[in-house]
Amino acid sequence: MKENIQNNIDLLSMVDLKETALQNYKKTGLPTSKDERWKYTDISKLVGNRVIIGVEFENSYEFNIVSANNDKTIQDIRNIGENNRVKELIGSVIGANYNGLTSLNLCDYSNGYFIDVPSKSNYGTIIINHKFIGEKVNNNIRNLINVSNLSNLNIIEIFENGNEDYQFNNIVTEIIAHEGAAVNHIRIFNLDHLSENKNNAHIHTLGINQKKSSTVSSYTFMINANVLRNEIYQHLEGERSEGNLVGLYVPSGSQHFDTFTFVDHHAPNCLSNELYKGLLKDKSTAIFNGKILVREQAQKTNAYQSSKNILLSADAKLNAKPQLEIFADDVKCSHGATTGQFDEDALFYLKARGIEKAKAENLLSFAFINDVISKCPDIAAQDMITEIINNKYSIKEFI
Amino acid sequence: MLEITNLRANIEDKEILKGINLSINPGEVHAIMGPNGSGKSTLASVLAGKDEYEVTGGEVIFNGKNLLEMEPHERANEGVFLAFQYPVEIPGVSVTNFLKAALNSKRKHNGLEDINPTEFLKLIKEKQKLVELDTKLTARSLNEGFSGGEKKRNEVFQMAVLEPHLAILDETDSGLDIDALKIVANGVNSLRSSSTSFLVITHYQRLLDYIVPDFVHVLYNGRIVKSGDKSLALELEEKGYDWIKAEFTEA
Repeated sequence: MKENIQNNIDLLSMVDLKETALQNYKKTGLPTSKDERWKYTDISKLVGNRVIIGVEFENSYEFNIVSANNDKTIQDIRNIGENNRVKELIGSVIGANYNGLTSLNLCDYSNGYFIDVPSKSNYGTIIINHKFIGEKVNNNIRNLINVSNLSNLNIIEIFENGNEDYQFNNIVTEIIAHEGAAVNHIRIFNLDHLSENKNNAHIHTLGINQKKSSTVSSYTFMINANVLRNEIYQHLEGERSEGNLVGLYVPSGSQHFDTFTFVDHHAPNCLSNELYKGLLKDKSTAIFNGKILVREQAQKTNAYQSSKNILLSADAKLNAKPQLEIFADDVKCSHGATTGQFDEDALFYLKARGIEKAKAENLLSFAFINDVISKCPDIAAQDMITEIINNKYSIKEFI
Repeated sequence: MLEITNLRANIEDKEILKGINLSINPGEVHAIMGPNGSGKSTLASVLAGKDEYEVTGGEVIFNGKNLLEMEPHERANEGVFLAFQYPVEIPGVSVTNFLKAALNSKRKHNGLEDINPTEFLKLIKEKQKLVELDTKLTARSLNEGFSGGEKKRNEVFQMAVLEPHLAILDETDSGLDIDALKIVANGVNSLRSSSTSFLVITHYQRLLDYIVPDFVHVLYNGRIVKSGDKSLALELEEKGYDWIKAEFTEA
């Protein structure tokens, strides 16, 4: 009897959560370009008329687990309805009122996974293949990753689709890293690459909560997509936690890749390190908007951010906006953004050894992006990323 | 093999080379000495094709071809090699991959297939010994974190692999201690042959104790003002450049 009441309360709390999210979405709507954080990606104009709440698009999305050690650790979020763990954890990083997009996701998600790694477990690597299917679909996907005390987890996520048009995929992933946990999260976006004359938009919001002495490293490879928004909120809540954000964007044609990262230092003695690099071709656009907040109590913070960009064409557009807000006084912080062409001295050095200009630029392109790829902690993922980029750019000539 | 006639060059409208005449035959070693700012490095850069220099007059004929009309990579593939005074650090490009790209460019230019990997490995191993270059260095990013001596040895190593007809050494001795200098000089001497010529640019005579030149030229104020044999270098070492300046400074 007592259990039943408890279940009802939980069920009610889940309904409440979704209702709150729905109300917030109705209130705030999708962001517009008037929103400073969405200045260069007018998402409401792009997909505003494609949002349909309460309709489940059949067979519009599937995920496959390519490799996992233990089937119970990873579950389909749809099959766990009354799972108290999900109710307890969902929305704890990206809550019902976070923003219009995440509220839309929470009130209407229809699919996703839940990974729950027990404490003191050296879990190994999970590879998840996401596939978006069908035209004119609006998929809200919700993923939840909980890594308990002193456990390790590596996740590699690959995002793909076929030759569809008018997709709007709104994905939210929450990661909770408990005390002493270590998580490597690798994402490879290889979407919409069959034709660039499509109207697909993909948004992935990644929310990370870190407890004491945890480490979460995110590696994001934005290789192909029409419009892709990568949004990361990393909260260093526990002392001595470490957050690493590594990213690479290589848009070409008319591709539009937008990155927004927010590293929030809540606690003392934490370290955050961010490196994002971009190589832009043709008429592509990329945005890097990276913010670091060091709260008053977060003394002895070390926070570093670097954004480096190379424009291979005069028509490519890049907007870089690093932001640093510091309220603690005993901190070490740095940030810097560079945008330009290849170093003339390096180019001349290569040419003076007989390598023609186009090849020299290829060699330098590969060097520039390989600096990021080589930081990815999984060799097989590195190979895959190199392969996909090579298919796109033919830069592998010198390996 | 190299015939420079009345070569003039500017950088940002300032004339640096004011009529250089120099003739180098196959197998000869020519040293160019001169005080700072006389135009030595400009001459090296102009021959290699660096585009921040504007050639305003004269001509350079290399093995019967007009060198100044060629792109930098064509000059290299025709057999001109510049050992840089300040070799550039290129993170992410390994010495080996870079050299393979350079060598294959040259082979392609000469109508040859890409070198096969085993042959390439053999070549690298053999040439490394010439300049006592650590095997670990060739796997690392080009010049990144190399010491001054390692960078210069790496230049001579590349020269050995690419086998140029004309090797220009731009102040290769700068920043080297005596041991490193000897290693570099030994490497260069081992490449001397009847078909390879050298243009050794240096401020000090010291290098010429080890790479003994056939001719020594003094470059001052954009012109070659004096030429002689190796004894000229010794004279400069002894007397400094002041007497040259006094004799040739324009009124």
